[in-house]
Amino acid sequence: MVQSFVLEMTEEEGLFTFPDSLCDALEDAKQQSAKREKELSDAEELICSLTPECDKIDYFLAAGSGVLCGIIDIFLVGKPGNSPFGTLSDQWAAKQTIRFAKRCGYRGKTDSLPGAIQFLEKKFKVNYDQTSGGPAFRDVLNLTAKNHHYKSLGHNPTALGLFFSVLDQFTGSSHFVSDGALVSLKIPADPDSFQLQGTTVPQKLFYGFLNWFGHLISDRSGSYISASNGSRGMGIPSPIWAFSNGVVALKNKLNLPVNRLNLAVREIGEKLFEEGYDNRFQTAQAIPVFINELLTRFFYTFRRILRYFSETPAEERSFSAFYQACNPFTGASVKRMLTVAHGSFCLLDVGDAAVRAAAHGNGVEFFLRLNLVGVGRFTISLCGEISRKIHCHSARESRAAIRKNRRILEQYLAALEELAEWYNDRELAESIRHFKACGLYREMFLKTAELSLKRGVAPEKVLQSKADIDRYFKGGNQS
Amino acid sequence: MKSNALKEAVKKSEVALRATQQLTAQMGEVSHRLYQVVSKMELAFEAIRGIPDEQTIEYKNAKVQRMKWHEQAVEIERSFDHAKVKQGFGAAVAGLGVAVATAAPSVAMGIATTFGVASTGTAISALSGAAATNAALAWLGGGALAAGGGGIALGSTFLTLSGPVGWTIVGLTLIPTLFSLFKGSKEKKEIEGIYSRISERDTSTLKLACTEIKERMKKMDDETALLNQDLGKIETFGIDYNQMSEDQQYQLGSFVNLMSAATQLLVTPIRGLQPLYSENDFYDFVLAYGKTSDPDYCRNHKETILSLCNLLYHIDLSDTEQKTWHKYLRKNKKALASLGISKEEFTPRLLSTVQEALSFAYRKRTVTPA
Repeated sequence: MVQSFVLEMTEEEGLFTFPDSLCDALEDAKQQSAKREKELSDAEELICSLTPECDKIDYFLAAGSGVLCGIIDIFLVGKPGNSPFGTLSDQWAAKQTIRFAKRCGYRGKTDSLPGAIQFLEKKFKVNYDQTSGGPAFRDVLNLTAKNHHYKSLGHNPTALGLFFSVLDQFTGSSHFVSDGALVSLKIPADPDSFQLQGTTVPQKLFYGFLNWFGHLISDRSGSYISASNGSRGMGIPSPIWAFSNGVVALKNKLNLPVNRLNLAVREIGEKLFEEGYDNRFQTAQAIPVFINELLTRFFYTFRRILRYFSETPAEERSFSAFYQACNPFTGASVKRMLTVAHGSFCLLDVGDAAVRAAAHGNGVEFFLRLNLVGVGRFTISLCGEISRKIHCHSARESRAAIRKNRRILEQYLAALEELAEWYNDRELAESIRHFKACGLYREMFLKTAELSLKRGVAPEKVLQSKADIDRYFKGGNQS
Repeated sequence: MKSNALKEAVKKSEVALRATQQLTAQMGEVSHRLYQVVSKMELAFEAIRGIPDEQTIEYKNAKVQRMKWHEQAVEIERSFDHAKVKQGFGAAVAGLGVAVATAAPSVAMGIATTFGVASTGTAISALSGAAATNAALAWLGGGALAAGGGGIALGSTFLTLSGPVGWTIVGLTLIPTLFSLFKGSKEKKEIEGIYSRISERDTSTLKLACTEIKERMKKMDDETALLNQDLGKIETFGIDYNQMSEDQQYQLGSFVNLMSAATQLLVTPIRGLQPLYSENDFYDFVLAYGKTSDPDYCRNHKETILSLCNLLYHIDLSDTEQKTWHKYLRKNKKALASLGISKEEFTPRLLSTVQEALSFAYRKRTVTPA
């Protein structure tokens, strides 16, 4: 009867499985408890992995690294045209251009940048490479040799730049962004000057991509003429500033209004480009940021190595434990140190740029000196900190909820164990049956006394001897 | 609209409550059979013993307990019938299932076992008489009666007596007002969390009770069968103790012990359904608390403290949760009324006293709070 009721409840409600016996209930509760413990340890582990354990020295070293690299940035990066690191990155870009040209078949003079550029310009010819393009371009777009790489969308090293480059090569047109407008100019077809290779669409797409990429490399260290003159020339725009062109182009394409902020940012980007802030200069800006990153990770790892060897006994050392303790790539502590390092770097850099801009009375000066790579890296660090904080908060909440629920489960388990003890009289009952069947009534009597005591009958009220039985039935008259 | 977590927790406690009520009704039938066989056995022993003297009375304590248990069951049944006639109670209990609505005598016996009888012969909760019967009746009626259909005043006495069953009933009546009182999702979430935990705690205690009731019924069934066999055997011994062989005398002694052990199955309360925080806990606390603070304050608010301690037992509240819950209860007249507390009485001091009382109880039971 009991069994049928239980089954009925289980099927009807579908919410519980009422255990059939105390043993089942205990087993079930123990499993639940183990599951809860696992959840709790997972939450603890997550909180631990999201909480930085940096001490004062860590913070001091990180801030010191940031300040050192900030000073390097101020004195060795500075602004385009007056930058020792800029010169280095220009030379490096020139070498890369020559190396790329050689790989593409250039057999000219080994160290000749103009030769390599000329070779690449011919090999990766595009139809949208109008430096000034005559009166039409000059009048309509105010296109000059100084700004055409910025204004021409095909010269932008971005995904949108690739899109417009391939589109222009397919359609024989040129796309420019000028004064907040996306301008498309159709160039009269001249099969001798440009023809997109390939016979099928996929082939044409492939060659379109190759032309875009090769042409960007050829323009990266300036033009053939500027390289022949020994001047720096105009490179290709930095991807970050070229993005402002993309925003204007996209808004135009989607018929969305271009606001003043979009225009202002694009205009600043153009001015910066005209001042020589190109892809090469942005590479130079990345140098102190990269040094900062390396130095901070080195400090972190170095201290952890020292700590590992000083605190771990020789017999307990292992490579995996060592790597886990000193790993400079993951962990909240190293990430916190990087945030501090890049934050102090940015503080110095922004301060220097602001002071110099104020001294010159020129806003463009501020952006020329502002290390955008550093600001970008710091932003990534900050986003990581916020994300870890949010995850940690949610993990703490979940840990608190598990702990509160665990308390209820612990009590349930303890109560079940008490019950199991109270009801655990199967052995006694079997002994009673056994002695009864064998006719061993004295032994049976002793077991029944034991059972009564176990059930909580007061000892003075349990018959425990023959005398007790006599007294109970004879009322003290033991004749 | 209740959130899913709270909704599920409440649903589970409802299911567990119904299961407990139905199992209690089933236990009543099994208890009745055991009671009958134990009573017959007692008569057989009386016949052998003849007229009892002072010394035999001490062994008859089991009978006293059993009789009290039976009286309690009869009283519960009588009150149940009275309520049905007077208040149209039948309709109110219709939702509780056929067993509870129609089989009152056996249900009453089940409830009598649930409440138990102490060795002194009083209700185990030490609150016997009308209060105990009312609580039992309210429990029998379930949420339908408690929600206002039956005219039995809920309050701290009911809540203290009826243990987690009472809390489940009260909780169910309070929760619907929860979401109309708070606009802020954070506060709602906190209150929801508190009530989810209360529901979860009650579900686990009711589940514990179900497990125990089933275990108890198995034992009662087994021992009823065993005692029936023994009863047949006693009749073959005759009624002259002195004429019996030693083996027969030992068997008689065994049967007396078995009868006592079986009586314990009738009168021992179901632990999962006992109040979580008892009057003894309260007085122990007052004794200890008196050394540092005002024991009169505790005594003056005894019922309220007992109520709240039972409600919040093993429910850990953070500081913000305490504040939000205090705010919620002060806004909710219905909730305060169901706890038998006035708005003026419900102060932060009262809540902090309750927290202290609970901490003291946890320490006393050597359970470390989380």
